[in-house]
Amino acid sequence: MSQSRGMRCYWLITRLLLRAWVEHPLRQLLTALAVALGVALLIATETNSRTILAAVSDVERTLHSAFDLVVTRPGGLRDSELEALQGDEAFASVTGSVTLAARLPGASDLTLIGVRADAMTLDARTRFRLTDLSPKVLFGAEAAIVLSRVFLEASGKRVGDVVELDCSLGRVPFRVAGVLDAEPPLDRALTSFGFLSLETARRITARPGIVDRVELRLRDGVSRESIDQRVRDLLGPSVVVRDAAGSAIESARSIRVFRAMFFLNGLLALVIAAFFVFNSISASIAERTRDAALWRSLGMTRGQLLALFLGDAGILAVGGGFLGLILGGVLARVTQGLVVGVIQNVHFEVPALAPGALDLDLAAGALVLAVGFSLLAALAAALDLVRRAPLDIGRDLAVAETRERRIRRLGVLGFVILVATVLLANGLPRGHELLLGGLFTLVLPLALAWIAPLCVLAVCKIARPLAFRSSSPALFLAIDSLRSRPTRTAFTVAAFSLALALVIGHAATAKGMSRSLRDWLDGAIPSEIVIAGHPEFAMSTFQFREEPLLPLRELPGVEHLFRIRIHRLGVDGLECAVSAQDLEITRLRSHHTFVAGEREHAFDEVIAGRGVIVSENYAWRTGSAVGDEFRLIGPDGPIVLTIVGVVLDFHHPNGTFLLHLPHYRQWFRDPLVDFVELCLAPGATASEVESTIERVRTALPKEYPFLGVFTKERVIRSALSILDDLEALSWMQLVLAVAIGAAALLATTTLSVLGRVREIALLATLGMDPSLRRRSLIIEVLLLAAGAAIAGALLGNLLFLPANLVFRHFAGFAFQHAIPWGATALTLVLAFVTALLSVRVPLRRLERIDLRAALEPG
Amino acid sequence: MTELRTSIALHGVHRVHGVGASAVTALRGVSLSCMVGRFHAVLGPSGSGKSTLLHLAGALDRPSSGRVEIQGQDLSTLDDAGLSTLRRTTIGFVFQSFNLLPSLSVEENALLPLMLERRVTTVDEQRLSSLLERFGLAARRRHLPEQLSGGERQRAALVRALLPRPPILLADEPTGSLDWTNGEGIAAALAELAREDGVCVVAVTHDDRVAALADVVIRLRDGVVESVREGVEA
Repeated sequence: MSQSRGMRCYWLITRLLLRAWVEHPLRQLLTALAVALGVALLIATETNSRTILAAVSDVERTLHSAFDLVVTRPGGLRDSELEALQGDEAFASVTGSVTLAARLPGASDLTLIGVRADAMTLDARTRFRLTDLSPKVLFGAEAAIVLSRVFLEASGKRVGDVVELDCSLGRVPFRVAGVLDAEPPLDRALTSFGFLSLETARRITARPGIVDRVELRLRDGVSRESIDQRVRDLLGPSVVVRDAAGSAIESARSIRVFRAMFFLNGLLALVIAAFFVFNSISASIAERTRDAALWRSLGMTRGQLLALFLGDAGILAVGGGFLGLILGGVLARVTQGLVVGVIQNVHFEVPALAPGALDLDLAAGALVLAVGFSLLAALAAALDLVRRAPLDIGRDLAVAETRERRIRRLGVLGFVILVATVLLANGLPRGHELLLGGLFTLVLPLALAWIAPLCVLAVCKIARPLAFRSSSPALFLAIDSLRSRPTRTAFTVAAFSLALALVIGHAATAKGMSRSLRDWLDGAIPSEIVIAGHPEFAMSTFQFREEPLLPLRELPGVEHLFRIRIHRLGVDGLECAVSAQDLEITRLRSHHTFVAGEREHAFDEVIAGRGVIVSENYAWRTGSAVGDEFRLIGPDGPIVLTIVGVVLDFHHPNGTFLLHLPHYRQWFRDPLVDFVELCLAPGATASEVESTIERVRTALPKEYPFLGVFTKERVIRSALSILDDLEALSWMQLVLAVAIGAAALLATTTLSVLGRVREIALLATLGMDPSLRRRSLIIEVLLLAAGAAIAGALLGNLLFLPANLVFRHFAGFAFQHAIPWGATALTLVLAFVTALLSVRVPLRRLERIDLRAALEPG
Repeated sequence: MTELRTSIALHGVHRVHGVGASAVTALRGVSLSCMVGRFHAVLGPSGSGKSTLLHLAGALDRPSSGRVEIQGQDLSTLDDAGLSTLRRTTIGFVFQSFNLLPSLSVEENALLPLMLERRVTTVDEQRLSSLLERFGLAARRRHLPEQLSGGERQRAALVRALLPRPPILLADEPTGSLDWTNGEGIAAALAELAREDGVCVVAVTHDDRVAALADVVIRLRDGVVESVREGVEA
């Protein structure tokens, strides 16, 4: 008997919980969909980040698993030094290698590692394996190469075939001597790697008797602590000794910038979903107020009543959450290429990836966040009702004045947070960027949620009497409707504006980066024509010797031939980029933005070999300033320079320093260049540039078929194309924002109609005709969209600040802010289109209102 | 005795709510006329069709059969917008539960019908002040409904109904939510409006005090007019 009563009780509760779904399936579905979108975004971005991170780490670990330490020195190490290490009993193995870039014409880039041929067969400790090795080819007279199975299959080659690769020596034929393979998914990650003999690599790089790096494996029992000094004793103080895992750490750090940004995006989407849940539960409360009064009168406790509404939110969150997990899996697959593109363009080559699998901990975490946010939103919505005594439920006890005072207090708090964000973002002490950037990204929506109701009240306070005086009943009633439910109005505006802000924030970040990079490149490139080591892209990935290009100096119209070498060098343990160039020409024709130091003096000192100009991000990272000592370690010992200038430069996240090319070559014995540029006579026209380019193409040496000739503008465009994927993400965000906005407006305006059935019927009784009623609702939704659009545009631009902080932390750069006018205009237009589309459902509801309801006793 | 003009006329009106087995007949062939300058009280037990009669007279509903005329205008010839205009220009409503818009002040509530017609003039504002004075609400004009007592709310509703000078005033249980004193005051005000301002007042009521002040008492039972009795001499 009691069991049956218990069952009936559960059945009753279940029916109460499901009632909202039966009565308002569209509203519930939209709310669940908002939660699903939030979870999906979180799952997709985090799954992609994890997959990329795992793949990069896996490749790094695999490549480095055969050794413990890496020894490098700017300019390389000599064979005699290699032998000295081999003679030391502390090391179980000592392998020297040379790394170079190559390219299958018309296909992807390769990283080739030159090692001794016998060392290639000793890699049994690693997780990749060499198969089909042909000793005859490997030790034969021709240049032999081992390429990955995936690469060979894609290019239709087999062991014994000849492949022609472009490298700094020109186009070189290699015979395939073996296959590099591994278990999936590592096999795909190895696609871009290949091995060749050390001698061949040296011949290509024109560096006989030199290795780039030495890999050491410690003998069992040898302590790691003492090794650094031991290596320095053998090779001199200029060597850098790193743990083999070091580069994996470096890669992971770069990926984390995107991971952090994507994760914050996902969290923002969940915050938006929480606004939806708040609105939905508010509507549910509005509809069930009489029921709630009855239940409470019949003995339902406050806790049980609260549990009912929390249960409603829980069902929404769990249902939406599980849907989000499925959507997230799909979204992760769809966007993987895009995310890889962004990281690849901005940082480094990401290995080919298998589709990411959904981690259980991630799924659980996302669900917990979704449910947590939803329950908090439901609690906020239901608390007022639950606190009331049974007889007070249904009475409008929330006196306007008290409500407004609370809104005002929270609004002021929101403003304080916003101002603090802006102030702190601009005057931030070094080292706290990530923490503050992340914190602000989360706090900003909260601040907005608090400020928005205050803004709604303030705007309505001004606009309402104006509308009343102007005798525009539709406008007046629309404003009044928004004002009478400030929290609901504000949360709708907040949800939609946040969605729009994500788009505008993305666009602002992309435009800020784009403008910063454009200004820098425009000022830094002194020439009109650039010759680079790639036929299609003006990138500094491919080096070559300049000698065959020197005759280009004699071409008509060419005033100067400018050379530049960009290379990575360690400075006090920090890997930076050196930009060695003909500084006399730079001084004549470039316009670097000097942050510190006097321009002419700085160039004098660097050209004289006494000074160095460093980039702003290097100065920021190391805390260095003009006048400080700058120590480089060359093959012949330390080179001590003085920092004489600080310029804006976005070449390397750790920093860049400018040297005069002749000094660099003397100090580091590096004969290669990345670009040869031609400076034409001042005032050269576009047609003169074009005709010179044609002459250059004809005059290019035949052994360098891979060289490309570009105008300065094309170089800049090519560099800026790295931001294309970031912009593509903005458009994806836009689609999401429109979906969120449509759902938010549809839900809110439907609620507005539902919540005012009696008022609308009364207005009809008083003679408000149907077209005026429709117009009022349309104005209401347009006002909501306008509020969201304005707030979204402001917040989107504000979001640039924390995004810039996160970039500063991980990528080292701080970009200038630029308002993305195009994206903003498009977003605003779409906001209004969304509003007009979403108002159709509530308009239909409006038509169905029974006017006689106004005459029924309340 | 002056000749009375008809303001509202119902001719053989039937009204059936719902269809099939759930169909309920609210009015069965009701014919009656309400005159200019007279106070009509409609009485009857619950379910007798009083509210349906008021809905039809107020152009809020259409008859299933028969004809309703207001100021000589046949309602069946008007579309939704036409009915809205008619309500706005011709009819004032007073409800049992006041039905003031909670977010509007007394003054805004009162001006709302004129605003819907886009004609709030200085003359209207002067008339508003005088009506507020007449009904003891001058000091409450900027208050929200939730800040008023029940009697004040009903008087505010009356001000709203009267401001556009409608020739017809329809009241649904106007004293139903009021205490004795306030109820008496409202009933007296309705009677005064009919006699002094020439308004055709129709009040659906259970309140004997309202019936006692009426010029005409119409009794409904089961959807038919049981009796029409002339009350106080006009």
